Amino acid sequence: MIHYKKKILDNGLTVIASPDKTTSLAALNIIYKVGARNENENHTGFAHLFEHLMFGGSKHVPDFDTPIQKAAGENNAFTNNDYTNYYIVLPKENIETALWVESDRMSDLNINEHTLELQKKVVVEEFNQRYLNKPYGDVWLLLRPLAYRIHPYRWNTIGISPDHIRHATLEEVRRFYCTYYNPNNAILSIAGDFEPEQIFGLAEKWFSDIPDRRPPVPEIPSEPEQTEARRLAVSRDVPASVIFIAYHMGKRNSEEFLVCDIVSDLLSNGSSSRLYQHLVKERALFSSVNAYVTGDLDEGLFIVTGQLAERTDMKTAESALLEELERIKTVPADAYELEKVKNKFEANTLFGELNVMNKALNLCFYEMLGDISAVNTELAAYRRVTPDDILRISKKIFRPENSSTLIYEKK
Amino acid sequence: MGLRDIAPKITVPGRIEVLPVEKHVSPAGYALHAINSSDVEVLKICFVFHAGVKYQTRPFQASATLSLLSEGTQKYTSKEIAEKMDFYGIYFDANIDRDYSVITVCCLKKFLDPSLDLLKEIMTQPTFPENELRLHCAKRMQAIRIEREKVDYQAREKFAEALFGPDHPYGTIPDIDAYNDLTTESLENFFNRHYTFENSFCVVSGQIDDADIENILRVGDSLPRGMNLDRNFPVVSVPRNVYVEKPEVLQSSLRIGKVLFNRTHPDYIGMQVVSTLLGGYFSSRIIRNIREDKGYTYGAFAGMVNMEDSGFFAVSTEVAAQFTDEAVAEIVKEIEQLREQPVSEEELSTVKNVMIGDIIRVLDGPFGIADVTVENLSNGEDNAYIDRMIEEINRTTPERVRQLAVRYLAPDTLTFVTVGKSSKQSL
Repeated sequence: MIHYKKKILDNGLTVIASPDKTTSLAALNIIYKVGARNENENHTGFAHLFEHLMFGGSKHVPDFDTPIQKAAGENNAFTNNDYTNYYIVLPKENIETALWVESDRMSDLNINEHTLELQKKVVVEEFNQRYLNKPYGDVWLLLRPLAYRIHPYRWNTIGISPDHIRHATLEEVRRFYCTYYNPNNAILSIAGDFEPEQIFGLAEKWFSDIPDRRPPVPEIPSEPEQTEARRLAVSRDVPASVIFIAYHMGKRNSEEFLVCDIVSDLLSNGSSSRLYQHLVKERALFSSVNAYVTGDLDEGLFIVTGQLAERTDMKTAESALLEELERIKTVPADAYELEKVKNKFEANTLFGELNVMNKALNLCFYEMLGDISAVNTELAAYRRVTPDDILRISKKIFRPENSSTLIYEKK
Repeated sequence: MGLRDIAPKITVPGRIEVLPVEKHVSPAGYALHAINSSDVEVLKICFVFHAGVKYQTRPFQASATLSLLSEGTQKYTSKEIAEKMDFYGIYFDANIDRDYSVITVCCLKKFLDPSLDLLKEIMTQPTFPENELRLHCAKRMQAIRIEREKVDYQAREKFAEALFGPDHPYGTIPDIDAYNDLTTESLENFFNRHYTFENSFCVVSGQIDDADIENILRVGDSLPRGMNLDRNFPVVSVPRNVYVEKPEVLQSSLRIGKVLFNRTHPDYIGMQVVSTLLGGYFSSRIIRNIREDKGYTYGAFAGMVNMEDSGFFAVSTEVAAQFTDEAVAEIVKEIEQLREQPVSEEELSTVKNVMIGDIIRVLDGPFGIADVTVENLSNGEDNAYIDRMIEEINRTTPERVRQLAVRYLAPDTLTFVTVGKSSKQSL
């Protein structure tokens, strides 16, 4: 159970306060509701590149990191397809330092050619390190455009190619900042040993002077329903072949998501899960297997994947995965198995609540989804999922014409 | 004057309040260290064994023994163990380094009894079934083959080998095929020698009461008796230059460093300050230079690594292949700079606060305190080490930083490992 209070400032900034007496730390988290899905297809990777520029200094804070380091704090950020998240964790006595630097870069970010040119290079190296210079690094660069034809989820946060990053201009950067980095496009949360009123007062002090600029309503094209199975086969210089099967599924905010999340747990969460027991242990066809949901704001993906054991051929591997999906569509899960994945979900929720940073992030995330109270009620919603829900949703999702299969074979 | 013209005041704690550790010893002599915190109804239990990789008599024996503990016991099959763990929502982790192995369980308090029952089975009655062993070996062989495709993994292995030599347990790079020679018997041997009462202690944190402590101590008492066979691992190291050419890569992986000493040495904490200044945080000198000034890399790191019989200093990074030589030269330049010019009080004070901030964050919450306690006890200390460390960090002067860099970081005493492309090296 996470305690919180919420308030919206006059300029539209949503502020969430989470009192926690057990820690000497304070966590400040801020979500800007902009991600790769807001990008133009000719300028991909931009939201993430911009995240790097947010560390380039602002009017009163020439170097973003230094004051936080001096305040014994730690900060970082990440960008995904839906949003950009920034956080700072520091001793609670120094919370105003966090508010100072965070409000200054929302108000007056330094945007200049030097920082842009430099961060373009850094991001190209990130592209190389994480996606191109690693075995299997390009899997998602292949899988997304296979599964999505129209929706911007067809590209990755890092972008379609390093060239898009190299071509970003200062003018675009300025426009992006004005468009998306506004108080009413942001959610701020603070967790720590404070009274909520104290947090609202501080937020008011540091953020209320930032003018309200209405962000545009994102016009994001929706993905048309897929009508036939898609397939892509590549061969690469890797030690083992892998297979990915992606199915379209509901939004993070839908009942369908909860059911799919449970299905993915039945399939692969823990070493007693179906895919692991049947395909890794009993039949030894795979050396690892996984099933997971992407959990995106718009309609997302259900991924089933496995790395083939040395002597397994691709056809056998694929049929084995499909057999498991067939079973989940046709045979109701028994009460014990369902109870097991729900227990596991409950334990993981509790373990997650031990960390002040997790709490601040979760509060922003659920607020962004549209209903912050779900941060505490989702557990009960999981508990309500029935074997019939699982059959119904599995039948809807696991259809060949809803699938995109990536065969990634070793040379 | 505007609101944001003046930076808010900063306070950095000179001491960190840490929940106390209570030591309980069973009548038979098993030691349990408890950190009681009543906030959330969860428990973390760590059983620590002196059973690290250095004790193995054949490659992969130590890690395979640890992994197979939960793959079948007298009472339960591998599948039954997996079912129980998942049903009770137990987080289970078995971790090994060169010196120690740690078996960790996090569980809801209401499921402590079944969790302890499982732990006891795993730690005292493993059967190391042949089929499970073969499956483990096949999976690990494939996983290591993939890891060894990565430049950073290769650089890490080559660096350890260059520092400690191919025959030292800290430096050896075993052939993957050695997995084929592992037998149930060799795992039993390792288990019998190292997973013993005398060779272990336990750290527990979370919502603990007296009955819990007794129950956990009973698990410790049930461990088989035996003595640890102490082995001696002398370290002899000479600087080396290792180049593994990979002409097709986009990035080269670099490791630069040398064998120094472990935490017991009076200069260890001082050298942690030196390496943090150099590359241990985001505004450190190496990152400012090769990332924020030149854009050669996405990230870099410098730090001290502590082991039971030794310790080393290392800089690591992945850099754009076309700038490999430039990056090496810049790193060396930064090291030389430290040896020549004393650091400013301003920069040093930032580094100190960064280090203290890291300590505070690691110690936040009972689970974090448990991890630090395991580490301190493994090093023959208790949590008083935390205060000593903070004092020592705060005492470090610019002159001491320079002296340490002069004493320990002469460039001609460093080992350089490059995996990737280098025009200089291939000449």
